[in-house]
Amino acid sequence: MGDGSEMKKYLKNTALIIAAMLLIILLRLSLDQWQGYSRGMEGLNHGDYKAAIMHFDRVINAHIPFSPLEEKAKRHLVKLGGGFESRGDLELALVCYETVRTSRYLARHFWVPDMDEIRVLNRRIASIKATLLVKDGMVKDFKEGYEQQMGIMNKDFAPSVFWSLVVVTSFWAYIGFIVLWILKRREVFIAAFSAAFVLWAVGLYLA
Amino acid sequence: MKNFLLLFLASFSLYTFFLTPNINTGDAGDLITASHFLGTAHPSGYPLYLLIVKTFSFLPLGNAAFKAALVSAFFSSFSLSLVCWIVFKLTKSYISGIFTAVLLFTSYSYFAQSVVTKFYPLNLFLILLVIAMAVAVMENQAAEYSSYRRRSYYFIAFVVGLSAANHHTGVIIAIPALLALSARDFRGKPMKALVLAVTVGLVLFCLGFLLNSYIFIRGWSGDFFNASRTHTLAELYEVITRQAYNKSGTISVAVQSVQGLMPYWYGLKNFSYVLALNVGIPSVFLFFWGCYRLFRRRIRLLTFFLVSLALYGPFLSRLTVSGLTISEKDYYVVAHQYFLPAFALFAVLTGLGFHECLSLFRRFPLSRTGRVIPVAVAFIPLTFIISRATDSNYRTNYVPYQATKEIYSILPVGSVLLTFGDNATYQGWYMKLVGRYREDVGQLASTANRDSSWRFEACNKEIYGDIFPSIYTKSMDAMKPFISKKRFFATDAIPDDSPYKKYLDSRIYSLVNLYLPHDFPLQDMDAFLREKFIQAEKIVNPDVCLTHFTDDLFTRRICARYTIHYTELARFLSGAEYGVTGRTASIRRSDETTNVNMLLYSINVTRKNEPYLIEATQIQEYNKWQILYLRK
Repeated sequence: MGDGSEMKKYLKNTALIIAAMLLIILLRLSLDQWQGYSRGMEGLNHGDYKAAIMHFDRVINAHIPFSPLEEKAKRHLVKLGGGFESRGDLELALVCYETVRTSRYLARHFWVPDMDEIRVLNRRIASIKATLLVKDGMVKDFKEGYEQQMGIMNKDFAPSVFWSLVVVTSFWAYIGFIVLWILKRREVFIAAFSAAFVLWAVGLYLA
Repeated sequence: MKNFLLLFLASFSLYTFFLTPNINTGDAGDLITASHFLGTAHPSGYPLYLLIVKTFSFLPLGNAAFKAALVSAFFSSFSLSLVCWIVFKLTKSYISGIFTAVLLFTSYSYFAQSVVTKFYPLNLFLILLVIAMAVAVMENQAAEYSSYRRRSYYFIAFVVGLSAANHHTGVIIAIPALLALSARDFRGKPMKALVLAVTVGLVLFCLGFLLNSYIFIRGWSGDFFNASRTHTLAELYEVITRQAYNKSGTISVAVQSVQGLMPYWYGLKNFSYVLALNVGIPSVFLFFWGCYRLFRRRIRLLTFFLVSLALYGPFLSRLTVSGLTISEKDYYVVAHQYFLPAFALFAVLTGLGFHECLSLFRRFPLSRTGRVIPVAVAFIPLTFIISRATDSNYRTNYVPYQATKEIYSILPVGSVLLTFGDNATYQGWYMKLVGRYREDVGQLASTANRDSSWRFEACNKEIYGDIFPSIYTKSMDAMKPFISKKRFFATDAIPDDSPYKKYLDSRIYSLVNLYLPHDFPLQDMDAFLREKFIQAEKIVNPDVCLTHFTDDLFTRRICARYTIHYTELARFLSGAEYGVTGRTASIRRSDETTNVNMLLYSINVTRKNEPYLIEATQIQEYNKWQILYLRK
């Protein structure tokens, strides 16, 4: 009974600390987003597109799921990109679109956020790159350039999320069971850490 | 317990506030990319650190680099709680423990390492775990020969094994821990018990060390990103012992430790200098007082602390910074990170001295207000946070991210970028492989601009084999048609003694250099480059170099690229048609290793180029601030 209540208390404290840490991280990222967005808007209103791109980039890199500021900054960047594209300033349009795309890949956790948006951006990016490649005589025609660029962007060499999770979980289990064996000296932990190690090694190989 | 947790949360929140918002200089790009792909980083591979970073990467907040830097903030905060606990264990005084933690918290190197992506905070945490365990055993006299002691030995053995899967310096703590614990605790015990304890300890060490098999498994599975690929056990040995670094490899460094006495003197001198700047001269007095207290109470514990301090301080200094003069780079890449365990040990002994001071103070009859004084004194080191906010405020440092992004942004579609050295290469890997920025550009990597061997991690043949086929021939003759298309760039110009000099010339191209064959027709080159500079000016934004509050050596070096961009742009805009002002500007280059200041050229100041010259001067002036160890 005593052990159970101790464990309950321990788990409660751990949960509280994790919650406090998440809150601290959230506050820091919110501050980054708020500062970045207000400076980005300032740049946009003064026609300083370089400052606007730089600060909106900071907003979307301080990723917070469902953040309205992040959503707005993303839209501003895509809109800026569209404006540059229609004026024929393709290099700047590319910077805007790639900024949004990269921020999503950098925010990857269990999945890449806004994957639908990335697919749309990929088409626009490939189209701009193909146009520039044709202009410089690097490819035969637009189609070749477009397909070449889409081919690059559609490949993803990141390891499997499932096996990555297996690796990470079994890694902590491996360490945890050894520590438990040291503390409790029960044979079951030897079997448990052996199993965790095997799972870890298999996961690493397959990830 | 509550006090230690509060201390942890307080330090974690402050470190998180000052944390780098994105990629930082140094090894960060390599470590994040390796962790992202579950690959291996540069030798010794750092599997333990990579797996922890991978765990944090599943957090759905922030970007990949921010999450990796959180690992540093987390372990540094944990280490502060451990340091506080150790002092509390020895003094039963929270306030002395807090003084120790605050002293360490605001010290220059400790703070800077806690807010960027580095494996040193994890290394220190593991070392402090061993120290805390050893202190607990030595303090717990009643439990002699009990299972508590045996468990502690086993735990120490396992943690030291884990350290070997992170940074090698972590293993050093095994020496004082074994010396301090074994000799007395096993005296008079039956041989069978001794053999059993040693065997189990060795097995546990091996179980920790076994994490290094990560390098082998990932090398064997042949996956996408491996900065240290291993296929055989011999290669695994080479990676783990850092043979790639020749004289700086683990074995070579260990051999050097027994050669000559003078380097020990210089090592001690350099370490003392670095230590004094980190913790302040007044703390030396408290340190000796703390030593005296331990000498009277527990000689064995004092020996343990002093031997550990000697190994992580003067001994490590002899192995790494034992020259008569130390360059800023040496201070920055060695002293700024290797000595964290020594600083922590010094802080613990200082905390004991502070406790003695406190005990003396409490002998006087004081009012309630008077009793507040020691508490206030304990927090005095916190005032150093003002200095840290101006020299290690990585929250303001967007330079590595912005500059790397802009380097890629100014390149024509379908180019190849050759990066030299760790910084340019690792930041490039992060942007290109993790962020997938400008995937049309292939990145080749070389150790130095005099090295002609290339790495292809960010120019994978599977992706770019059909696009840049000549690159994979590694033959300059085969590559010549591609290079002639003005599509081959590098982060450095070609030095005279470079193997490339035989085939190529280089021209400054905004933030990078354009490589061209010797026989390339140059008649329209200036017009071409002028156009490219003006085009790049639409993208390049040097504000980041004027708004960061860090003295980071490599950040300042990156900012020099912007200075070059502006002076070169000013040169293109110095003709009479741009409105000559009648003044001239001398463009000079200063070599930081030889201190030679060489005149490159003089140009007319025009109405068009004057703002660029002013901007270049401002960037240069702002980024002159040296790291603390060399600041006048």
